[in-house]
Amino acid sequence: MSFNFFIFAIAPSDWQTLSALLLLLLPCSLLLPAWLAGRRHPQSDHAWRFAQAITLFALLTTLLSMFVVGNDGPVTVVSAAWLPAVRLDTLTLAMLALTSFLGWVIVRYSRNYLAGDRGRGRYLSWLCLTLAPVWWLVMLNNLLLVCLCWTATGFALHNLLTFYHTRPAAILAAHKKFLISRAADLMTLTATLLVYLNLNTLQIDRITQALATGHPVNGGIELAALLFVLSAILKCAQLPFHGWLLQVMEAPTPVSAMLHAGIVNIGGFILLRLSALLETTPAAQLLLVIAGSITATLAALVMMTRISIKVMLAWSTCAQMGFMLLEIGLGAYSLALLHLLAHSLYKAYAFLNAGETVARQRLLNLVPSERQPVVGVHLLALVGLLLILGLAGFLTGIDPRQEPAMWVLGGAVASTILPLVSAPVGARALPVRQIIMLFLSAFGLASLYGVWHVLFAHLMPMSPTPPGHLALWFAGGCLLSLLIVQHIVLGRPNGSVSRWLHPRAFAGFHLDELVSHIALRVWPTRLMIETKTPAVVLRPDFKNKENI
Amino acid sequence: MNAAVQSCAFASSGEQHNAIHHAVQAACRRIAPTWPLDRFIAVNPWWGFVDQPVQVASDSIGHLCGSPLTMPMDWYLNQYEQGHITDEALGVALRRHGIDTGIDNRIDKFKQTCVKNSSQPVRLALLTDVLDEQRDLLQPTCQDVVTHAIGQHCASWFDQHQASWRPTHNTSLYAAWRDIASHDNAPSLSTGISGIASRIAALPQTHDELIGVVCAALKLTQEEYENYFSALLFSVNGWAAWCAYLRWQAEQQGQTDDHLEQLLAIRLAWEWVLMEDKTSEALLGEWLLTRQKQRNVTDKLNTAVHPNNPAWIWQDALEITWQQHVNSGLLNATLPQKQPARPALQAVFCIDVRSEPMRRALEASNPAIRTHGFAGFFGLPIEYLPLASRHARPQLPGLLAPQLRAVSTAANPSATQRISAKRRFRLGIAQAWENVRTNASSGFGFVEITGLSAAWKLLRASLYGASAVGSDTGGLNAAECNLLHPVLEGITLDDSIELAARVLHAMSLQNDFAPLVLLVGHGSQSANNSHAAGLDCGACCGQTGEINARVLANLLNKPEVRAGLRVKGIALPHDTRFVAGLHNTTTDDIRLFESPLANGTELTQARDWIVQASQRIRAERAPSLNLVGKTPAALAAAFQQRAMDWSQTRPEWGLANNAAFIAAPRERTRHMNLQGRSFLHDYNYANDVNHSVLELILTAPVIVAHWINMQYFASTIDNRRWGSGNKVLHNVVGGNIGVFEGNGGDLRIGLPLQSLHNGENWVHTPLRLSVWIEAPRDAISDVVRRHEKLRQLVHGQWLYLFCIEPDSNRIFRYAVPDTNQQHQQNQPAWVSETLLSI
Repeated sequence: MSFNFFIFAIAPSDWQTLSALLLLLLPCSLLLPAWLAGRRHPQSDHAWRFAQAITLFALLTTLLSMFVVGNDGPVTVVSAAWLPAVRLDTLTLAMLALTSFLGWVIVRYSRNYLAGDRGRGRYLSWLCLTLAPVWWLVMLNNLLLVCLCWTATGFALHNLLTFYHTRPAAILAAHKKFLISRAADLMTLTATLLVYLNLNTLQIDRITQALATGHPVNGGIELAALLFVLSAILKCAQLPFHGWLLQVMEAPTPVSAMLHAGIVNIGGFILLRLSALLETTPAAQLLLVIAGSITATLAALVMMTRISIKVMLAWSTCAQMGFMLLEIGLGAYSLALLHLLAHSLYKAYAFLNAGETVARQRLLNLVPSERQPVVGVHLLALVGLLLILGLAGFLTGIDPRQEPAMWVLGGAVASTILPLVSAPVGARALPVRQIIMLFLSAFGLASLYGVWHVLFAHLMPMSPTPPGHLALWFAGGCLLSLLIVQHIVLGRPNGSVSRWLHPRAFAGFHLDELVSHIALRVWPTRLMIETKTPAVVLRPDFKNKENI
Repeated sequence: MNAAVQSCAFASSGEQHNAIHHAVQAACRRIAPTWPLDRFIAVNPWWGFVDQPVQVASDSIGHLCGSPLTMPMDWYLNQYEQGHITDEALGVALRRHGIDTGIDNRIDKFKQTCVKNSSQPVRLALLTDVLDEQRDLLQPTCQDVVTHAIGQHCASWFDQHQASWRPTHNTSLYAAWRDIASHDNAPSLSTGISGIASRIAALPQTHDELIGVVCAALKLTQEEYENYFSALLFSVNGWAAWCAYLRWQAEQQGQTDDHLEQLLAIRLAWEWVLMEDKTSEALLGEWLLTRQKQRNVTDKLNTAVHPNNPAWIWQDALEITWQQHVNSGLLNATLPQKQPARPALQAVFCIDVRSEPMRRALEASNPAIRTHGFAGFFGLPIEYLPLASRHARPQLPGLLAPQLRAVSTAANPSATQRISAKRRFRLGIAQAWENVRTNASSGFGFVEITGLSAAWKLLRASLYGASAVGSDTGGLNAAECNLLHPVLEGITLDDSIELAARVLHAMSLQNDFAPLVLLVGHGSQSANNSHAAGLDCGACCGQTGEINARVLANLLNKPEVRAGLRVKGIALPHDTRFVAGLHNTTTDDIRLFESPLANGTELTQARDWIVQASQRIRAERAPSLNLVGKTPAALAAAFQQRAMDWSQTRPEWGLANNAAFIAAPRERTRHMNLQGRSFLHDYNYANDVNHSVLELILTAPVIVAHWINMQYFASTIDNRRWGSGNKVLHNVVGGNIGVFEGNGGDLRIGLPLQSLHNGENWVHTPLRLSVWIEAPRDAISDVVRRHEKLRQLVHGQWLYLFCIEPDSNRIFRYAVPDTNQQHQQNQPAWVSETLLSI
């Protein structure tokens, strides 16, 4: 069915041009509130209303473009010769929908949250300037522009991370991030250059097409793929370059939400965008799987030892990004996209709602938890688990024999529902009703996973080449050992394994201190803005105006 | 290093050990407790200093922490310019400080000196400070590194809820630190000081030993011990306060707790291990010099400034100006000559300052309404066990230990059982989901499968707002909540009657009962607010007052209890019914927990009056929240929206600006607009023959009010030390222990900046509590004499005490006896307050 049915005067290509133009204009329009907010009084609300309207409009434009793509299929639109081409496809629109929705939520939230803060206007300016390049980079077809936008986002974000620039911890974390991001920028630019030299184009669609139609793969292209993977590893806060992500709690909560939900995952997006390039180089894929699996495993383990809510969430992001990269490395692009979207929304909510921790804790304390899962999973639980997985897999058509990646990813689903089906084993006298409910929940989760699998497979194809055995075994081994270690330390928290491992995990395996030390050696920064305060006069300026 | 430590150990003699022990105990007693966030009651953070007069304490605290107990001079001058300090009051303040103001230009001269003068207190230098002096700005300061390390270790040790993987403790706080830190290279890396871990490994096994050894090694003199220990503890003030809370709880149950000593040992050990062997001699020498220099400066400051510190003169003048307003109001009261007719409605509110505007508004609805003020726990020494739970929570002031237990029941045991089972089922499922969410290996799949649903949550919270799931309603639906009501568990009839009589007596509620008596507790409504409990009822241990009000209403409605009361001489009319209510202090609505027995028409009438009152008070509060020009309905909606806004960091400022405590019959204050700044306690001395109620008021509600007052005072004068800083950076620690500001560092106590500051100005004016009691002077003096803490507070000028003499209609101030004779049992001097021309 064509669009002409509704509005007959405009041809399909006009619709494409219109939405491409609108999309291109959106980030430009964000510059207006950014400028306004910098000029007006910090407590003035005009710029905020404006920014909110733009994000909402962006969401509507994305919906319009979804109709266009739904109707015409994915296209690359050149609206004018002097304008950069816009890619209209699932990936662009999914990312646009995500970032404009989150942008709307975060602007709306920050408007009240930062009320009374002297830097409120400055905050909005940088928020808009961070968001605008993100929008461009998800829609543009030119690889160089994409990479430049990625860099620009990082620069703008730096100003949000150092929003309270009198806090030494904020300066240190932002500085670390700055160094790591610049290293990553250097890699992406080099890789872009390599791609251009070898394929003679910077247009992503042409690159994809060339590689898919059997353009010979040489060392230059392989190096480019490796460099893109490395920069994604750096920018997705994979171990041991994760420290900055954990320490940017020194910025207001919505900045954390923005960073964890909309920016740290761009590395994943770039790799999805360049999946054709990635597939040319099995070594790059393997590297991605190895880095992702190790980070997912270790960061998840560390996460269980965290004692403050926001840092716990940050370690969780680190682990989840590892899992997303692992999925990309295994070629499960559709699931990686699902993970990217789902994690962003989940983490944004978790951060913005972090103040609710106390109330939620009170509620959970009413009925003290039976947290400790038993070490040996009861046979019944295991049978239940396999039955549930088998049934859900059968109903939704997931077959690991067809899709080898599902051996590993399906395993992750198995460990998700394991606490539910093994709960009756740990508890003494659980009512039958509760057991049934838990099993039903487990079945619901497994089936829902299958449904997502089917839906997203339509949106984003899987990799045509199955993952290598080494990658599969490595990823599977990491996730399985995480499961085993977790069961050992939670089952016997006072056992020797737990006592040996806990201090190390609590210290984050000492990785970050090492990296910070080196970073400060390589490129020191001033941690204090004021001149040195003498020890004898430590009374702070107590108007605290800077802080509020 | 090891050998050095050993040889020092031999040097410490028994006498020195004793001196150290005393100094440790004294330093630990200086630290005031902080309550966990889910029962975040206000505390005077200087509770350990109230044995000193406030100005002396101000100097000591300035010396130990670096900040005095007064606002900066330009703030006072600004107050003066705005007319919040009058010349007359300044004159009185100067005279009280012994400065003769006979010559008129004395005041001007004083003001001029103040403009120039702004002396900062000299903070006792720690070894880490001296180290930091020598370092460049490219590295984190030693002080920050140490505070962060201690903060992380303590959080890991004390966490009960956040981390899902926690080995239980089999050693002590100190031993565990020594064990872990001796393998941790991070401090060396971040400070650039080598060998820290190996020096920690060589430290003594126990904290007692360590303190002795390090004191000897640092070459401290015995006189320095106590102050040095205090300064160390204050450098990790938040965790020290948490340890002090554990000690407070232990002592309430007759036990002891030595976490505070261990924390001190850890902080002390850090001073020692940061010194590298080759530089330690030079460093110690420099530290000694700094200390000597400081001592000279401090001595000079103390003799020069004390007792006539200009900041304190301004502070006094500010307080005197406000007291004058209240005094003139109190003396203008027209006391009724004849007994008034039976009131149409009585409402008992909490003494909380937010009740004052509500009482005023309710009384304005009809002259036949009488309101009363009483501590919001309604005199019930209870803890409450929520349905289906095993953990009871206190519902009484933090100073007291619970004696009775309240539980929730439905109409009959089987119904209770049924609802309880349902709740346990639902909470059990929630718990299982929580495990899936937080476990390491299940998180990946969980996020992938359910993460998209967060879009709906984000949308709903952004558009509609969020409401915190209270622990009283979680796991229950509305119908089930309505079936449940809290009652006292296992109390005999005699005890019930005794309790009811005691409570009514303490409330000064003996006769003239209205047909409908409302017992109104209060609670605050806010979303996404980790400090929410700080806005709830302090007298109910940071909970809402709902449980206590409902338990008492239930008790007093029982016919058999009433029969018993009649025997005791309290005749409750047959048609009098008690109904519990909850005052929502964010939206200023009152929700009534309707009793099925209550008379229908009277209840309807009462509801009507309450609605009028709510509208009146919302209109009064609207300008401060930038909500002007709205209809009553729109205003109510705006208040509701504010209460449910998950991005609102300032849900209410109701407790800010508290400054007064008035215990008198309501007639004394009924004509006054106290602007929500006063705790109001009903007290009729004529009914209190043996002054037992007076004694109770002065020793319990006054102390609670003082704690709230001082929490606001302290958080305002130095929010970085006594407050919890910027709310937008808050990061909840251990599920309920407290917050970090940002990543880590010290635990933060006190109030967030947003609770005190609107971005432009402070919304709280730090005034010490002024207490007015309508009772004979001798009776008040007698109570003050008999209670040590109260005497310290009054004599040390931590609060003002006034007596409204009923017969002469005059007000007297409790003038502090001369400090030279403080230890003798001299008569307090009551000084008649003369009204200045304002």
